[in-house]
Amino acid sequence: MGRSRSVGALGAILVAGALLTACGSNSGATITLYNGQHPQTTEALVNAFEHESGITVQVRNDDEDVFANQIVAEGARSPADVIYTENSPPLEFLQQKHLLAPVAPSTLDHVPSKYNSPTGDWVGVSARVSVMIYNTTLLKADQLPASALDLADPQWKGKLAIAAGETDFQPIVSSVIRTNGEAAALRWLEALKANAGSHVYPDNETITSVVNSGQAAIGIINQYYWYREQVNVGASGMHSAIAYFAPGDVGYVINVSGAAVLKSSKHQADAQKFLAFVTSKQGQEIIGHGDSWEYPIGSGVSITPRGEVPLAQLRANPITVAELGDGAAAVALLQKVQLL
Amino acid sequence: MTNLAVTDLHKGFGSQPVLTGVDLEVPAGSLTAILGPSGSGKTTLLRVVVGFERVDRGEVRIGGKVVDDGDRYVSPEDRSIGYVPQEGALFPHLTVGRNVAFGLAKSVRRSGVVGDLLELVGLRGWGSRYPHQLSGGQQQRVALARALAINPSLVLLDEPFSSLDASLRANVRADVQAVLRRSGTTALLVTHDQDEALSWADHVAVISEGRIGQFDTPHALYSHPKDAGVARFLGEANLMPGTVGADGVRTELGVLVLETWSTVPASGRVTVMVRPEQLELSTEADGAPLAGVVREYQYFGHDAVVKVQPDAGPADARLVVRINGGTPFVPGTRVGVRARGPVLAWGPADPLPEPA
Amino acid sequence: MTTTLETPPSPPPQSAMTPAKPSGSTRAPRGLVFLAGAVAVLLLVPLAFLVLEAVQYGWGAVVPKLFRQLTLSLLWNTISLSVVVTALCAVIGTLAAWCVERTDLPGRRIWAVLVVIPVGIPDFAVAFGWKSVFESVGGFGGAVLVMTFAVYPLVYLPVAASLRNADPGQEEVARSLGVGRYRTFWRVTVGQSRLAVMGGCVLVCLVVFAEYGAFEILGYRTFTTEIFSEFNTGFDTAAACALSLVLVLLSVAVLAGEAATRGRGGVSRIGPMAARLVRPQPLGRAKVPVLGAFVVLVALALGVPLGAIVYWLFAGTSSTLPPASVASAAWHTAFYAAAAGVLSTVLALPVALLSVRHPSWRAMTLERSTYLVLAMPGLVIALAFTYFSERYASGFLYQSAYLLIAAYAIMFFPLALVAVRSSVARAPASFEEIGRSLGRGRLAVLWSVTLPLVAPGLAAAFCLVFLEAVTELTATLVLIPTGAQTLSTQFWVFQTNGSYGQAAPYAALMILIAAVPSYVLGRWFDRLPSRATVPK
Repeated sequence: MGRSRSVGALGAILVAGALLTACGSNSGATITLYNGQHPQTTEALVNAFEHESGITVQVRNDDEDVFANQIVAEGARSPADVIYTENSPPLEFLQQKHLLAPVAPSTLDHVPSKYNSPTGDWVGVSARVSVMIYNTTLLKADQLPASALDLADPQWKGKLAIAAGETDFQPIVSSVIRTNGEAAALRWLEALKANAGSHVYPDNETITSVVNSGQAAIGIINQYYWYREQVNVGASGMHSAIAYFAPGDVGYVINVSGAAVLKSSKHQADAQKFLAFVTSKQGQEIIGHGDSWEYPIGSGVSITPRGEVPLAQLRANPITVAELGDGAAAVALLQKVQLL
Repeated sequence: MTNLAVTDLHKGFGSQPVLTGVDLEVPAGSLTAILGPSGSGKTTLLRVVVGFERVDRGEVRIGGKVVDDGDRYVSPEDRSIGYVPQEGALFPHLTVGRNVAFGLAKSVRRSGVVGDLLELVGLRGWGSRYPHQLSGGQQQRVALARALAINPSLVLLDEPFSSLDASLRANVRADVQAVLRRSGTTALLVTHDQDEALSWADHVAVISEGRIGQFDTPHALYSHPKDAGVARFLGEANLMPGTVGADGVRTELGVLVLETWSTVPASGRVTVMVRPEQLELSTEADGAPLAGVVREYQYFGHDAVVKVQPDAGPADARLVVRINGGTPFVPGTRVGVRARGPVLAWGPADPLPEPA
Repeated sequence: MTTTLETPPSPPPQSAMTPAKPSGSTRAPRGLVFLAGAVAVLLLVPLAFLVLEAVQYGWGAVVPKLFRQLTLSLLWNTISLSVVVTALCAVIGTLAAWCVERTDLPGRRIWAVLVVIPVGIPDFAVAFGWKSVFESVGGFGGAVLVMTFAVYPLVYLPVAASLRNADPGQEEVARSLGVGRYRTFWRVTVGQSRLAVMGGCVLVCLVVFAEYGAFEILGYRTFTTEIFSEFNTGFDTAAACALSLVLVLLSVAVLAGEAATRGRGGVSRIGPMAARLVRPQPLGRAKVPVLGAFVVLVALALGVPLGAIVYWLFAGTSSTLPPASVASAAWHTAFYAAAAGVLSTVLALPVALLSVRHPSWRAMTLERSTYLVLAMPGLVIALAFTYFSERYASGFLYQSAYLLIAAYAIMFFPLALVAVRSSVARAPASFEEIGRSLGRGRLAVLWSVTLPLVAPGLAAAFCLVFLEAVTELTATLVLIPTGAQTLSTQFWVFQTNGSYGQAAPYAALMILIAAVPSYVLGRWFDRLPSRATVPK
């Protein structure tokens, strides 16, 4: 009796396992999306695409950099068809490993070429811009620095918060290296590290909440984190504001979020359809009106998320996505000063 | 007919030899005790016979069939040996009935065999209890029933009574003996208690330092120990040097008469054994061959043991004397000691053993 | 032996008056050696991945990554944190266990459950709780605080079990010899439980090595956070693997150190293992302060994370994502964790049987090697599975429920082993021998004697693995079947979006699901003495 009961339990587990595995497969056309973007950005896009195309999208969520490593480990048999990331470096990294398929030219045409992969292996989907966030009780707007380089000044000691491990921070480092050279970038990072002291945080969400609560006075984030925090805590809970660096400043960088089809994908056509959709007018409108607070970048789409400065009016540093690359130089420098 | 035959058995653990050439034959239907001190290897011998350990060298046969000779090996489950360990070791998760039925084929379990076995050990009706609801003696009897259930050719008992209270021990021992006799089972009992061995078994094998020192009936063993070591182990013995002469053996107790079966040379130095009950005490030292001082007096009711330090000899030397309980001897009293009756002695090759 | 949950693994007194057999004497059955060996090989899969990657990268490139100043400072961060957390856990766990098991502390039954539950709260949720209530929590102090309160039950559980099992007679004898209560505690009680304390400490130490989520939230940098940042920002799998190897070496040192200090000190006991009622020691005037200490302990270890979650549940109104199916996430979580608990326990059985029943240096080495996996970050283990499944098994089972369950089972194997091993050590081998002498074969005896006797240990093993698997995140994200969600992945999705209000219910549900086995675990240990001891 005891035996038959345990055998029964074992059988039930195996059957349940099979069911759980089975519910992953679907009869219709299906693609698998490795989503490193914020789920709320992706969810609306995926729903609209499924409705539009009849293709089912299976979404996996994780950090974009874990996905990059995972796809390398998976190699030629990766189950992923499309990867969608917050920043361009993971896509550049995969492109260098020759793991991406070329994006359909018609899709690349949806987006100004400056936002796309220089080799055409990935397409830009949305953009974000690096800004200062400051606590409005502790600082007045006229006290803010004009350049990211000024944050190296000792006057910011104990007031500055940075997220050196965040992929959003590397483009700024790449930009400083490009403009001022590696030696100067190194000194700048060392000063930043000294000023930040214990305010070195893992991500931009933390910087936003720390500056908002007044534990730190100032920090560098991508603009949309501030708008999302506002949704989270309500306007009355905001004790911070964002400000832009001087036009063309090294810290004033536009980051591109992009997507690509994997070379190993067995659903190339359907995967390309997804890329075409997210860069289409419809897809770009979803980004512009949705909860992502990022800028749509499609040609001819001029939607600005509520309350933000229009993309066209931004006077960012002219660094290109190609120059940002996979951020290896920035990472090496960050490691050198032991911020990584 | 022989049921168990062990030939030249060697067994060691690592570099430490435990059994060094054991030879033993147990006749069918008899009760045999293996008597030995702690560390003599008696439990190891039992574990080899049942098959929990394998021989290094030598041979074990059961009912004429080789079960282990270092090459061929029969698993314990195929030896049909009933094993009763020290603590009984009833399966705590099973009822008494299911413990007894453990070794039975499914078809036999319901046939009333279990009830009969419980009846045999005097526990009919206890089948649905759990082991922890039983007394220690009852547990041992269930363990025996469990061992008998497989209709074993041989039952091995590993000090099964040592964990019982003294008052209970004799009863359980007698019960077990009766059950085994009734069922005509060959049994081998391991013990370090000579009273248990002598009173329980038909034959006793004395084991020491990894070998069988002597195998005999209890009476022969006690009265004719092969050497001083065996003698020492079978009850208290005063061992002393002596010199054989024409009139007997000369010792510190005077000239004593030799037992006729003493294996001694016609003359020369020998080891003499005088049992405590062979000695007498007198309060006047006059005339006694040995004078000494009482150092210890232990009273047991039916008798008493007195330890006497002889005047001649080292300060830690003691003669053990067993007397009737009547007269108390206060330590410090001067006494005379006298031996009566013939004594045993062994030849010169036998050095005085260390006291056990 | 190592980490026993209960008694020291010295062979139980099968024949109390005969000297214990020297170890290595009995031949282990080939089938058992084969099974245990197969389990050990399975557990070394992640290690093989690390070595392969580091070798592919080339030592020339790995060496500069390893021998830089940051490595030293990370080493210092990791070691100092482990030492402090381990020491604090040892003190808190041992004292709490003693109070619950041996004194007349009021409400012992309730405390016994409450002090265990914190092990079932995900570490990142604890950190998140402290951080969201006290913004300033962080750095070394914060890491010590959060980790201590998150993992001290790993010491409490084994020590409580061993006290339950140890002979209180020794304490009574010590008191009668004129040794005071507090010195008795140190010299006898702690002495009796030394192996359990050490075993718990090894678990704590290895778990601290591998922790990531909590330190990321707290902004404290250890080897593991560095490994993650190598993966994350540098896409540098090889460097991450090289760093992980350092972590493995550190663990080897910890295990070897524990083995060395363990020495040969077993607990000897003559005669039957009698289960007897222990008269609790009166706390006397210390009762109120001790009770206060328990209130503070539970308030900090349980109250803060729970409080933070409840606060966010009501205060955080953010809602930018439609709520996913909570029921489906809960079902997946419970199913994966339960299956992993079963698998881990089954895998632990041959290793435990081999190392307890047939001790030898080979068996010990095999057993100890299986602990290393505990110090490897979840992401490394997940990528190892990805790598081997995709490269060498043509993607067999990749991103299926089976592989995820297998990964969980392997990640938390040491916890199962500790529980199973100690209960096997407590079940005398003589029961198995008798079973065989009664004509049943090895497998039949395993089924009808050994398994019922070690059942409490199997249940404890299941519960421990279940608890940890419920809260696992990093490997889950990589290996979970596409489309499926667990409570921890959902929590993560909302938390990374700053939607604390929406993350909170998932955390609450996770704690609820984890509390069930915590409770069961407490009850099992409660019931242990009435089972599986040799009856008097």
